[in-house]
Amino acid sequence: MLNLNNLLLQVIRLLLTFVIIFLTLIIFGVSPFDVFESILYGSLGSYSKFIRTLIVWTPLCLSALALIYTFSAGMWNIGIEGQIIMGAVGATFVARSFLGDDLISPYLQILMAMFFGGFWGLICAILKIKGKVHEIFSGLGLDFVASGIVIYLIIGPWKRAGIASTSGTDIFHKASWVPTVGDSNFPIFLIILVLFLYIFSLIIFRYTSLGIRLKATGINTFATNRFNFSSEKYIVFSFLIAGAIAGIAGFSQSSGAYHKLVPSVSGGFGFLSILIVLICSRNIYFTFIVSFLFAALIVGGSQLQIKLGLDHSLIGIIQATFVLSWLVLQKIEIEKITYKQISKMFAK
Amino acid sequence: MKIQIKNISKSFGNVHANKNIDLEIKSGIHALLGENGAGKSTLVKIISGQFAPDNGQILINETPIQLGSPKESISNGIGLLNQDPLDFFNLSILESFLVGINENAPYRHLKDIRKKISSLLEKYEIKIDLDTKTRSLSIGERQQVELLRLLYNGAKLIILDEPTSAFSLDQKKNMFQTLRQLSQEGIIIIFVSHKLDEVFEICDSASILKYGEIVENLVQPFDSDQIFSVMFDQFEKSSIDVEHNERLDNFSINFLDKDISPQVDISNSYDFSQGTVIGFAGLQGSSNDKFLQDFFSSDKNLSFIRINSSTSLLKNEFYYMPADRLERGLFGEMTLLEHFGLSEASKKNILNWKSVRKHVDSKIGEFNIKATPESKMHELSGGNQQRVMLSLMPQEKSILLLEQPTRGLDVNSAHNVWEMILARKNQDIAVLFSSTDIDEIWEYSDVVISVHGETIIDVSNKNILTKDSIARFVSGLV
Amino acid sequence: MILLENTLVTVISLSTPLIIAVIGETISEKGGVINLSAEGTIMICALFGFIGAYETDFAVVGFLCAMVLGAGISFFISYCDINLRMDQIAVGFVLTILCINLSNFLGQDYVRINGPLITKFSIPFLSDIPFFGSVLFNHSLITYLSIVLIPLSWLFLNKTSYGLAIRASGENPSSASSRGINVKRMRLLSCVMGGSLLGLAGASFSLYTKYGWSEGHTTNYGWIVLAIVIFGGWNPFRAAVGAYSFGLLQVLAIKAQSVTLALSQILPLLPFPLMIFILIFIQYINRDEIKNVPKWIVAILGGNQPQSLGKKLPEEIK
Repeated sequence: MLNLNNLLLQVIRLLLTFVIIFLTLIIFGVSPFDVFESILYGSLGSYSKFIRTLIVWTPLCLSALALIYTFSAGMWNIGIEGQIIMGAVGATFVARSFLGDDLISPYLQILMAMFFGGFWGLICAILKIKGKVHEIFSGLGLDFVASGIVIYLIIGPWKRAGIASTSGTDIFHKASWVPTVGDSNFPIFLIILVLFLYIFSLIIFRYTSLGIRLKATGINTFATNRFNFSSEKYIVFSFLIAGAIAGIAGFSQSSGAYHKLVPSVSGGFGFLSILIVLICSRNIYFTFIVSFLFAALIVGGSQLQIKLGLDHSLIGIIQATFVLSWLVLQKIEIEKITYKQISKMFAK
Repeated sequence: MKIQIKNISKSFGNVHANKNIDLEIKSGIHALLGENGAGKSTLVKIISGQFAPDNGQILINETPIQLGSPKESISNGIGLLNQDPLDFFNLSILESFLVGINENAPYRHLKDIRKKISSLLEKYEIKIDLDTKTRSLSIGERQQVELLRLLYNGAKLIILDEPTSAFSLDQKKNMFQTLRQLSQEGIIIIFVSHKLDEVFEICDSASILKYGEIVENLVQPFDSDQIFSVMFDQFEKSSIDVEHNERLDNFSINFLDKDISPQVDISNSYDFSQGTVIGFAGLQGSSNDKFLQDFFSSDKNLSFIRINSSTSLLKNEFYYMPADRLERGLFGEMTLLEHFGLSEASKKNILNWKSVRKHVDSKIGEFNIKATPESKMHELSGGNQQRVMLSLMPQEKSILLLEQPTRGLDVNSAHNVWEMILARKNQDIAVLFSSTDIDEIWEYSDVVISVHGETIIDVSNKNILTKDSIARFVSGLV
Repeated sequence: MILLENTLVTVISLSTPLIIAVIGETISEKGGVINLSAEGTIMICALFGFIGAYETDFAVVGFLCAMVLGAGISFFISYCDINLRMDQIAVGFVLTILCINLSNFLGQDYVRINGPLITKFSIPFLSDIPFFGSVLFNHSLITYLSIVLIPLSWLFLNKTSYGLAIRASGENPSSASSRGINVKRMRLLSCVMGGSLLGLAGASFSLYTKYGWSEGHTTNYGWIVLAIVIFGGWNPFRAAVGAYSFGLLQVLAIKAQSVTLALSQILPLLPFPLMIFILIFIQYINRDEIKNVPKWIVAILGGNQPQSLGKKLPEEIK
């Protein structure tokens, strides 16, 4: 049963959020309509742009999905960046091996990426449970350790023939790229994977004991014993699963977007997906949609530069302002602000 | 110093928590006695300024003081010892003295303050380094230091509300010594406790409260029979014999040596027949709840339960119901339906919400829960939450561990809850519950285990007990 | 000797912003607020410090601008934390992303241009002392400030009533409140103080240590600050040691660049694994699981995390 009143309030909040974004843009001397028009055009204006949006969307929505698992268990998985990076490392490991030119390479890459990412998540969980280290600090630390490992690999053992530079490894063999439809770039393989994982997660959260136990762990770790399970075990599960899914996001970055391992392989998508999950408050459907909107913003953002001469960082501002205003508005009981109060405010 | 409490009354709704209380204390350690709900803590809160009374006044040295303000009470020399004081873990003792100290700019005359504090510590023979961190002190030491902090800030009257509940024997000895010394110096101490043995040991005078009124004022030497006859209503001896059919699943409870009171010589192991209702009687702050938790944890190093002397029991053969429902029992943000899903989850990996919903609907009717399957737990009243916990009991035969099953419930809900528990009595292996209410223990138990402080002081069938004797046991009088 | 002297001079001036930022974050965390926006705050304050100085041609104005902005950001965080009871971690995190992007967007016109410089100010006589003179007394004013801040902040936290009230509020808000301390005000005070220092740190990047402005000018320094605060066990002196060690690490990394590229890239990341190690160690010491740890190790590596760090205020504090 939907609570109509509540729905109305959320719609009002959403409108207010957009008002805030528009105002911000106007303050910067930018026409909001121009901006959104060129974003729309830049992200969905043509087939190739749409495909680029999809390529950005896959890692973003995968890492957002990963975060749903950890947020459900009440964990702030800020280590998601590191998990994505390690996933990419795992994928590269396969792509550079003797199997790199084999057709099974992408499938092995996924497995390896899941394994690496999951392992990186597991460290966080173990530190949390055995060492009582707050997951924010361990996650942050592991993010940087992961990026250290990548840099080391790129300029060390995996350096390009002849020169060592931070621009990345050699391009993978074509067989190691993410399979696409014919000659086009349409990443059919990734799309199917994403859809599968989303449907899979929907089922997990709705119909399995794993899902409901993760949710319970996030609400009250002291009551889980009564229901015959240990919250610690499920915290480990949440990090393992999140790490594995984030690893796939890393695979999609290294073998889908760049076709090589680069130092900034995560593209900051881990942190960005934290923003997404903060708005969607763990709702899988919303996450699916909002991550697409965010991807469209990113891809459309490159159009801003060309059409309006605006820096693409404007996109980051729009995204962060959106999340921040949304979060603050959630805490303000707008239904209690009466006409009287508003007129009082203006009277002053 | 002299405190006179004159004609204090306080009611909440139509409950008279305090009714025309008159009390005068000039010196010594004075005990406030009474059962749960007799009005002790209300009186304490009025004296310390947390509540304002409906009428009446308090005079200190013949001058009336302003009531209902903690600050005013403190400046009049009234100090209340918290049960868990000085909890700034990373601050040193000296620093925690300084937080909220009675002086301006304490850091400017830090040397003087330090000297004063150390001499105070020396005087009461408390050997604690002022620079150690609070986290390294035991709870007993912290209370002692807190006592001195109150003194330092000028307290002339100190109220101790159930002070010794977490003390070891040594700590208790030290604390009592400090208290005696204080009282010799003219500090008035009001000692609120359920533990009669402690009251007998340390107090000079006592008042007994009952239904919000002072019914008796006493001075040492106390007559324990008299106190009992006043504190508790008179009870006739039990005439109900407990009947049991012979059943298969007889069980035994095994206690550790350290769980048995050193005052008595009783066995560690007891056999019971299936369906026995066992009540763990104990006063507020005693460990009677802890035994149920021990059983549930099925830890071999704690007291444990066995069936037919077989090996250890599995967790899911127990159903444990904690006393603090939203903290340890339920998930405030989850719905009733989800709770049933969660208990289903321990049997199956895939949940069939249709059948869960059917199950919930039948349970809502059966247990008279006033909620829909979509209601979240924190939206429900205490009684409804309790009924939800009961409705979550597994269908299978199990051992029920119920911590204070009727805590915070009104009479009707409590009665209702017990009907539901007893309905399971014949089907389950055992019902173990804890309570601080002796009437409740008396009414529903077949076997009573009396807990005093942290240890068990008596295990008996109800037919050889009286309510009086249970009250004595839990108060520490053997 | 000359090499050592030069290295130390570089380390001290290179660490200036880090010292200030670490002290700011320490004060904030002592009061119970993790200012997770450090990365973003430092970045945008670096920009506004530069803009302020550039537009008015006074470096002081730049520093002031940055401090005000830093204070404003931290005020927003503490308002969300104290009054709206939002998750301070979420707010700080989103602000980080917002500030980084804002600085990139607003800073485009200021990339790689010259503004006012802070000159060196040799302290007369003292700077003539051999070795120590040039190491300690031949810096810019902001560097002196950073050095003076170390004992000052320690004194503030440990030897004043305000410092005590802040620490008590960060340890146990309900107890502090029952002893008559205005916990909300203390949380706000410590967070804003810390925030303005973070702002100052940002400005000292763009006006001194890493002169000028470019996109991502102070990348990762904010995260490093968070790590060093933990490394310092919430003690300004030890945090300063951490910051200077990191400065040394940077100098070594630059030196190592000619030898091995990999090492120079990875050395600056060392604080993060160290942070995790320290956190584990603190937990183990506090749980008394290892009894035989020598005292000096505890003194160097132990730490006292404020008990209410990152937690919402209890409901009863109105």
